[in-house]
Amino acid sequence: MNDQLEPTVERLRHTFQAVADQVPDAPPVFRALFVAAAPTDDTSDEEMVVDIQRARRDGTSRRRWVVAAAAVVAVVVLIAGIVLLQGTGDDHVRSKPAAPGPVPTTATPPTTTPPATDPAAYVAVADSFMDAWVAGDGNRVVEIIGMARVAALAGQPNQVALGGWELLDVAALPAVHDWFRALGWEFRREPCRVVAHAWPEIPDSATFACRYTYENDLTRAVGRAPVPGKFVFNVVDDKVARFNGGMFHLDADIWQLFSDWLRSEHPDDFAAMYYPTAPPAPRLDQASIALWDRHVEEFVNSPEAHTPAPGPPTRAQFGAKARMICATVALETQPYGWVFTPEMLARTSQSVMEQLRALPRPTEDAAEIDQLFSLLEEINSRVVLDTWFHQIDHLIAEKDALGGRDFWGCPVELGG
Amino acid sequence: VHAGAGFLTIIDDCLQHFWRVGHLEVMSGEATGVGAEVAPSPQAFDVFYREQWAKMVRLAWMMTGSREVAEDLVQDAFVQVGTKWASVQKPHAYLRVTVTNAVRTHARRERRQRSLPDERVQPVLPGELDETWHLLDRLPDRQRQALVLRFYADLPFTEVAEALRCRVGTAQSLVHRGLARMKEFAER
Repeated sequence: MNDQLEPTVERLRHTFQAVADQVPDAPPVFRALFVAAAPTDDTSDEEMVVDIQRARRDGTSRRRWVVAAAAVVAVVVLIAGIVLLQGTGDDHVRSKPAAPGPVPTTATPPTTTPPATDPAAYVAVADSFMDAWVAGDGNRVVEIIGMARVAALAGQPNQVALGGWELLDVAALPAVHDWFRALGWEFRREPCRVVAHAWPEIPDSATFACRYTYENDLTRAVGRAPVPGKFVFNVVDDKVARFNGGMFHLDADIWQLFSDWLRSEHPDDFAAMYYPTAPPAPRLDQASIALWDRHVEEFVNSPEAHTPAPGPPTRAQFGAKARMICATVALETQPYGWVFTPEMLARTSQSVMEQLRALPRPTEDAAEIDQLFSLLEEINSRVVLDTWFHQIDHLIAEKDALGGRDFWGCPVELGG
Repeated sequence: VHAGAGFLTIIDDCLQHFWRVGHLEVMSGEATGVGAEVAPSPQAFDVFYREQWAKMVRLAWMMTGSREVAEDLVQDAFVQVGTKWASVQKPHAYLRVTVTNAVRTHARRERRQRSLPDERVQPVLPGELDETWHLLDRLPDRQRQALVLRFYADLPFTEVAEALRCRVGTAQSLVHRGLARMKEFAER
């Protein structure tokens, strides 16, 4: 060590020690909610369900919140994947007209230690919420959302995150369901799962991930398979306290197809039907919904409007399809409780790349896309093979230079 | 916004997730020999958590400069360790590497969001130490991480290199350059 740097080292050591002294030795709280472990015999469907309890620090702290405690126990739930697959059977409810459907069983992790609050109560709330949603009962949905909690957590009054609407006022949810009805939306729900990643602001809560698929007049018109989506929400007491309902894919190719057609055929109505956002989100007033009803019907009855033109796709179409692939895979690999093995990582990466490579490409970007795909595959393989990151930094830089990063991320930010 | 030049990042972002998560997994095999027959009990995890929580928060706080972020990262690291608890052979090393990796991932993300306002809670320190603490903020992330691992955690360069996933020579260089910069900043 250079002698001239010794004083700097000393000062650093003192600083580090002084900072370290400000962290108490003991975690403030330690409390386990779920303590159980079960082995799995099939890694392809293994899923980790973890419950974390976080609590508020005592009032002497200068800080508002701290992460309090973690009680972590892995519950490898092989059956979760099976239950999810089985849950898609009869619970099929069409939004137009709305009608309640059978209630699927919500999957919960086994417990050997009684949790602070009965998880059955949380599960009932989650099921009620999903039942109301698939039944198209927007007013009931609003009743189940705890306005005060939402306001406190969002930092903005009564707003939830929902699909292409970014933040949406809770009071608008009935109108959302009116809009669903105008487009013949049809939800199928699957059993909710407790994923239990409690937010630091909500110490006594359960977090649910509830998958669904939807179809509507547009998806049916173009022959699209039901589109997967997922709600993630926290339940506190008997209310939903935080709600993220992303994954409506309002920016996907099918919506682009419709909005392009609308711009072309009814330019005067476009502004009345969409907010000027990117991607454009539907307006939810009655006049807009009436226009949606009318124009979607016209679109559906105009085969030329939704029959793809011959030839290679545009950049937008390619991007939308790639997004759909990524988003669908993301649903299967959400960070909630998932733990990858290298084998799973390799398999998933290969599956994504196969789907992406199978996409028809826009002619003018074919070379660029080839280059990107090659880079992605090389990076993937090196990660799977345990290559240190610094050895692939140049590949990542090269990849970033091709794409830029000014984008709404595909799976990474979904669900937090 | 989704149809312009950034469309390639659809795919990029799609795979970043797998890389990140998978990277931890790769590390786990490297550092701990996951899959071994040693099976610590849940009670042992409880003790481990109590022993290590503060140490890891301190380490992560110094590397990130933010106590809130540090606590979140450590929380997530304990989740990672807890989910593998039955098969982790060297939990201390695994936890430290997991925390460091989380810090690095966080730093990468932070670099993309530099415009966000700084709302960090700062430690209360006497004048000279407070100045040193703030000078650390001016260092590149990796230099800061290297200094913390070397002079707070007192790790040998081999372990600094392992935590930062670089060669020993690179770790030495990061420490030296970090110190030189700190000295230069202090003298201005």
